[in-house]
Amino acid sequence: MSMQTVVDIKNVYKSYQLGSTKVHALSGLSLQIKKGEFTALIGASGSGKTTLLNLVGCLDDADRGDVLIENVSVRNLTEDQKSELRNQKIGYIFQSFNLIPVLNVFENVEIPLTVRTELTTEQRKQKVMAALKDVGLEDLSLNRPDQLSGGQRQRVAIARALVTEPSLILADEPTANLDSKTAHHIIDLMLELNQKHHMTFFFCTHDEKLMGRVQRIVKIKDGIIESE
Amino acid sequence: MILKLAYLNLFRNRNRALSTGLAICIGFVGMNLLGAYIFRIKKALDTTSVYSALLGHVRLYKQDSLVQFSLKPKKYIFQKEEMIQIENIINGFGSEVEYTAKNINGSGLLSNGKTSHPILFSSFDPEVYAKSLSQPDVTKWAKDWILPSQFKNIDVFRNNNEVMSITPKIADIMSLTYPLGLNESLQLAGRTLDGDLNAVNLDLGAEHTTGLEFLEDTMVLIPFKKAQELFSTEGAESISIYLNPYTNLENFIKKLDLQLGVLPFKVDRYSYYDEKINSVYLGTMGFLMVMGAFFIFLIGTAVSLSIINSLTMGIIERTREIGTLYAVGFKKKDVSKLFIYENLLLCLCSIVVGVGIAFLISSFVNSLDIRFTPPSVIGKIQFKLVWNFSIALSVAAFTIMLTFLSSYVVMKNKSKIKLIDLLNDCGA
Repeated sequence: MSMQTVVDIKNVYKSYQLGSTKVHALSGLSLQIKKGEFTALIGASGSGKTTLLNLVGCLDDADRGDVLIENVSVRNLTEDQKSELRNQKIGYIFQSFNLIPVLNVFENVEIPLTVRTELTTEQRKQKVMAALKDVGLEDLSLNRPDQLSGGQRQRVAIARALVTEPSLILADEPTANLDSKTAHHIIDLMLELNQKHHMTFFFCTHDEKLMGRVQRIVKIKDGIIESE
Repeated sequence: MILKLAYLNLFRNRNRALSTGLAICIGFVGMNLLGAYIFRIKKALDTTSVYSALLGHVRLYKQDSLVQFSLKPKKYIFQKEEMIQIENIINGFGSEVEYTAKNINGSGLLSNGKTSHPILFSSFDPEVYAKSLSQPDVTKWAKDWILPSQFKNIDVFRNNNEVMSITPKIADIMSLTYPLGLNESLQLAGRTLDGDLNAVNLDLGAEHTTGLEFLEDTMVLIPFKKAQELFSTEGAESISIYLNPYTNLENFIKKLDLQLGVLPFKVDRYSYYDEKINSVYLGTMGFLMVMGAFFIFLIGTAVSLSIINSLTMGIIERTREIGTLYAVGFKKKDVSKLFIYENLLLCLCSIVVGVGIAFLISSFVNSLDIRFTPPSVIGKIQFKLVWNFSIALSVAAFTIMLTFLSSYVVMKNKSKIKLIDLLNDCGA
């Protein structure tokens, strides 16, 4: 039985205007990501990795082509519908963590759940504590981000991404701001969550030391897939 | 959570939050004090118009009498039968009406046998005059505007249908003995309704002031019966209706108009603030309202700009954070709500502080007992700020609305920024 397709990228194009120059970031790229895959997207700077991740995460719009998340085309969705899709199906881990500095760890992780009106406070609390337990931060739930190390902050960001139990977790260079030891721990954690919850991970990285531990590697060059 | 985040965000840039809060607070206090001043003047004008100037809340004239009475008094005076019909209608309102008064105004020549002086006279039942001046509202709102301290021997005037009251200036002009006493007999000459010459005898018993410089050398008060005697009539030029405090004037007027409409003769009905019978009221309030609106516009603009500036700076500083909120599933309305809540919280804090400051300032100003003389007015009146809960509530509602609108406009504008630009920390 074939695995369910979580992401279906169909012939997408994306270009940017950089001063007077038009930069073609993606040039007719197609890719499928199946449920439960742990996929790394690699490539040189400017190859289009982040652009692709942004399109999959509904953070940006393609010029041409389409992206389907669990068979839902994002092309004609309104901004609010995209927000809802992100909240329901996608968790996003940012390179620089993007935590809210005035909120503590618990509240940072709770943020995506606050827009889900169907959840009670108790249900939210249970989900947040479960996510914090998954990343090993349940004891630091009352700390503020500035009281945490870089690795711990990224763990909070991971907990925030998985607290909504999304079908896809996207990560843009999740280890770029971390030392190599912490980076390995973060990848270990992502792998553990992938195996434990069968969550689909799609992330881009520069770190070649991590390649050996990744199930699927997609190499991108000049806006198209060079190799898999 | 959004509310908590909004609250915590207030402490991120304390200096900015403080300066914006201060701007809102100063604006709130300014609008309150302005409102307090206008409110005091309005209440004083209401009271002096209705009771001191004896217009009543509503005044009735025969159609076109206001313009034509001095030319054709016989045609435009209410006849006795007509007054009875009107009184029947007024009686039907029961306790909504406190009392009524009939009056005749006219002109004539006042003489003491040695000197004559042309005057205008206003006539009322002395009992009505006394009742009007003893109204609680007069004591509360117009104590220092006119009377009763300026109305000497009021009890003499009130209990005697033979006594008249003049101003000190007329007493000077006519070289009357001062202080005035009942020993002075005067004669008022005028024309009857048929145009014949007539005169009535009056005793000088009281002294009053009109409060207005231009009337001070001409206006005397005489009992209504004496005016009827001078005009040789049993009728009245106008009928004033004084309402009980709980009666709604607008509703009363609607009902009254319906009933006056079925009378066999036409009646002109004026409320006490009608320009045709009270141009001073309309002119003063019109000026105050325009001045108030201008200052509120200036204050509102300053407050609004302060909020817009603070919010825009906040958005610029938190561009990536806003992008993150969108990325984790916040919708536009959720993010807008966050920033609007932030400003509304700041606004509420400013209002609470502003209430205290406005109270202190108004109490302090009132305790200074600053007095001034408005143009054309006799005597000094106190610069008083009558600040109350309803003014504070109205200004608070306006300030909250202003804060909401300013925040909404900024958020509406900023929500057009693309999510990817927010996350890349550019475009805000």
